[in-house]
Amino acid sequence: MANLRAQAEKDLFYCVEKDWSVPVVLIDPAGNTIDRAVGGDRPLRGLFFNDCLRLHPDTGERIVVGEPWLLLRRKSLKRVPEAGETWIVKAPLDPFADAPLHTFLMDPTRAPEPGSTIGYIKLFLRQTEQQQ
Amino acid sequence: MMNFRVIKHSLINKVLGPAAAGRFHTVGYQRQSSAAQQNIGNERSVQVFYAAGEFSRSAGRINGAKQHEAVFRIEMTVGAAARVNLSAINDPSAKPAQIAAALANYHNASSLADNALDELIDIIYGIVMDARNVDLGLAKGILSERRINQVQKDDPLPRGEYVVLTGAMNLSCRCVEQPCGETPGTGEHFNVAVDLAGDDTEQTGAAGKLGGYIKT
Repeated sequence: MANLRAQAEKDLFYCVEKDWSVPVVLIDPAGNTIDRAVGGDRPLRGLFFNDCLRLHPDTGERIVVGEPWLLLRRKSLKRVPEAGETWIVKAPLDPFADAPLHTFLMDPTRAPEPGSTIGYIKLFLRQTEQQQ
Repeated sequence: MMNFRVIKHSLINKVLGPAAAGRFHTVGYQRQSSAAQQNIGNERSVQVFYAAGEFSRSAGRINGAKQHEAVFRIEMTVGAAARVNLSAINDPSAKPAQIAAALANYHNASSLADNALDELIDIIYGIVMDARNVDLGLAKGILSERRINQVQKDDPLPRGEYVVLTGAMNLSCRCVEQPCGETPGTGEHFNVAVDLAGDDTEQTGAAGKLGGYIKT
């Protein structure tokens, strides 16, 4: 009988890359584009969420801010993002199949959250704007 | 109108508003909430409102003018996104080395927000404490003193696609408040007469003013 954690990691493929997933593109710090899963037989897909937060800063005013984050299966990645690295992440903002990809940054000031126990990684994304 | 309201109006409309020059926007009341996108770049906001006041005890004076130490709170909110050369990154013909160079030269949002708030504190302090604004845009005699006695910078919000940073200043002003008194109204007229058709003996008093008397 397979170890349950190994089975859970296999099941991740169905949870993360099947029905609820969206196509994503990563660019690593060396400038390499990763848009296919390991093996190259399928596009890279992940679970993308755009949560909305209502936070209370010390002034007492409530600030409404989005929190986009991406869940990926580590085994599908040729290179796994590490804390302290700067990556580009492109993901669609709309749930439609042909939605354009929006460019986000994964930067060192907010570390990714590893779920290495069952093989996922959670990336927190930053909005970008054109540098002058 | 009490002088603290006059001061607040002048601070917002005659001092901070005209001096903003596109570097921030002034809000003259407390908002329930704001979106992080509303405070990005030069849209960083400055909320000004009357926060507290102290009336010192004047020896030998029961009635008449009172000294008012009014505290105005100036709350600042800035937000920042990461700045990176998107033209290079999103160029389909860009080589990995060019994209890597763009990534290496990005400006992280946390430091941009930190610098933006420091700059805003600098600007607001410079405007309010400018010698030309010693009376905060008012005629002489209303304000006897104004000073910024505290600046506070908060921690960045721990989550979110934008880095949001807030800070606050306390501006203390000393002015004199002369109670004007409230003029009472003339009262509301009401009719207490009960008119039963065809029955003169059941009639009660005639109409009178509120707080007056009923004639029976």
